[in-house]
Amino acid sequence: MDALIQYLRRHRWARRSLSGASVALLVAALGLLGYPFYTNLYQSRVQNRLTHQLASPELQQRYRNKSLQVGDSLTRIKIPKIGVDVVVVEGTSASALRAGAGHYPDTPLPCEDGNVGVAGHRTTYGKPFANIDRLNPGDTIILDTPVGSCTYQVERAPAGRVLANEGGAAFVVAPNDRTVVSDTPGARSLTLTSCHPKGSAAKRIVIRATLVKQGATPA
Amino acid sequence: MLRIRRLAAVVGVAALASAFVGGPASADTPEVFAGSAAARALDVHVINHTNPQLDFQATLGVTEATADSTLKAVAKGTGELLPQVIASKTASADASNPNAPSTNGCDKTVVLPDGAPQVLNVGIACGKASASAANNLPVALSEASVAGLNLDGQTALTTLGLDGVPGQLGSTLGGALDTVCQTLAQACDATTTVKTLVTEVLKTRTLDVSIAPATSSVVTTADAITSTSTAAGAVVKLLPLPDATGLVSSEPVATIEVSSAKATATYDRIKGVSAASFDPAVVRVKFNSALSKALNVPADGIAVKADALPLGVLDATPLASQVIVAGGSTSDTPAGGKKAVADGVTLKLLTMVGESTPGAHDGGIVLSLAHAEAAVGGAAPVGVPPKAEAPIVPAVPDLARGQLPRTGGPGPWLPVIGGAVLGLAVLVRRAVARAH
Repeated sequence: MDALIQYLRRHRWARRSLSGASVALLVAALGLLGYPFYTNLYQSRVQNRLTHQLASPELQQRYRNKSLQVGDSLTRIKIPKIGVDVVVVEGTSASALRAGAGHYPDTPLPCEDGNVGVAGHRTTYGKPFANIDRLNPGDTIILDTPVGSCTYQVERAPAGRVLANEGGAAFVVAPNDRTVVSDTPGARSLTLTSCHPKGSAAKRIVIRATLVKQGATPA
Repeated sequence: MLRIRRLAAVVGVAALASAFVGGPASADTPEVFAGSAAARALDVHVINHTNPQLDFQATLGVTEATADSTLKAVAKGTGELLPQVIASKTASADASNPNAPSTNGCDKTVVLPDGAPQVLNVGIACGKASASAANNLPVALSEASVAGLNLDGQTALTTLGLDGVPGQLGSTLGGALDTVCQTLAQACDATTTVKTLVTEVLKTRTLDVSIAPATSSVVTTADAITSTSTAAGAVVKLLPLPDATGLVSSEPVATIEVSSAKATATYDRIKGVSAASFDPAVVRVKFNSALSKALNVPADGIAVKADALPLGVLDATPLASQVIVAGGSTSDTPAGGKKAVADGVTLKLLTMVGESTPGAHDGGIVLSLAHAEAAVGGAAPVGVPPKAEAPIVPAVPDLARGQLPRTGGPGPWLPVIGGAVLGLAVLVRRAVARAH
């Protein structure tokens, strides 16, 4: 260390270079430290906008016409067990998912027949699905759409799947296993997907729930 | 045999020559190309040295297809080509008639040569053809088939004047089978079985041939012109319904399965190059399970691959036959194209029937199967404006991609990394401050 200091004393250019590097490191450190907070802040602002949009008559009409665009508000998802209460947007592109959670557009609309798919962030962007691995069979998931609401009940993971934990509901699949969001003719189910393990995109964690109650259409 | 080869050669050369008749490409020469394909399901030749007047030949299931850059496409499928043309269907399309109606039909009256003994019963023969020149992409498809062919042994002997053959065979085979029995050093199952067959073999239907169709096609797309010919093989059963006492099953004495042969030639319109390939037929000979065991032959039979030595089947019996499997070849055509030929399979069946001298094995029925050939050629345009660019393909929607969406990433680790970088920045800053 002393040798380095002696060297820096003798060479002004080295002092200046290292000084500049320290500033760059400082900026990078602040960026790294602040990125998760920034994404959460960004998601929070987006959610405010989406909440207003979800209540608008115009969106209700587009929902009925099934003419929603990627990024539009689609439904509010509530999972009391893990404190989730966010608006889900249409689409699962990277930009759409900055809202926190997005609906697979090739799956049925919430509360409709078939397998409804929703993906959500487990880290950053509000991390709404941070704790979906804690869901157990029997836990409830509520979807409030512009035209009605419905309640799903978490199911036990299908036989043969790799369980994420001892809870028995969350299971792990390969990132390319899109069968989990494929249609289930005759069934009315909801599938939640997120990355697994937390902080990695190596695999996906999946929760399957079945429609148990369909509420009245809001006024 | 020679006629089909000549026919195919003429078709191929004529098609290619027509494409290049204007000489080599010069300035403002448009693209030229031509393709042809021909296949033959079966050529049957009954050889009778005892009475040459009774020799006859028939060619069944012949297909041809041609297409070229003049936008002409012709397809022809013929149930029987020789000695008479039966069930022949042709379709032709060109620029003025781009969508020719497809045509197909069958004829039950397969004709054998005048004076030929009616020893062969040939089933229904069918031909099918379609051609199109729509969208400046000529396409020709043809198919031909014969439902089956069988030989009644008793009728054959009577008609061919060989009534004395069974008795001769019995005495001839006596010594041979005894030798086999001694060689096998076992209970002489082979001797018993085959001896019984000798007396019964020519009283029943002796030969049953199921022939799959032959197809030929020349297909033009924006990128390539592809000529393909397939002769889809055959199953030949020797003594298909043995009722001889001593047989433990109703399996044929021997079954010869000929797989399909295929020849393909492709001209790449983008690169302006031709290529050809062939896939020769493979033959497998299976024996009746009783015979397999007695003769120590594998139950699943013996495979005869292309260019292998001829395989003798049931030598020294009335069913003595020989299997010859040819390979194939690819070559350059005089016009600069490519040609592929799958040479087919020759089955010499019942070679002791009508042989020139006892033991010569030069009589019987010769079946030539699974012959296919295809040729193609072309030259790229010169000085012609390039084709319009292909329309831009819309971006693949996110959902069409293979993975479930990423909703994780290194978020939780970023503050840790950030803290480490911050610490490093502080250290560097302190070092710089101490140096002042």
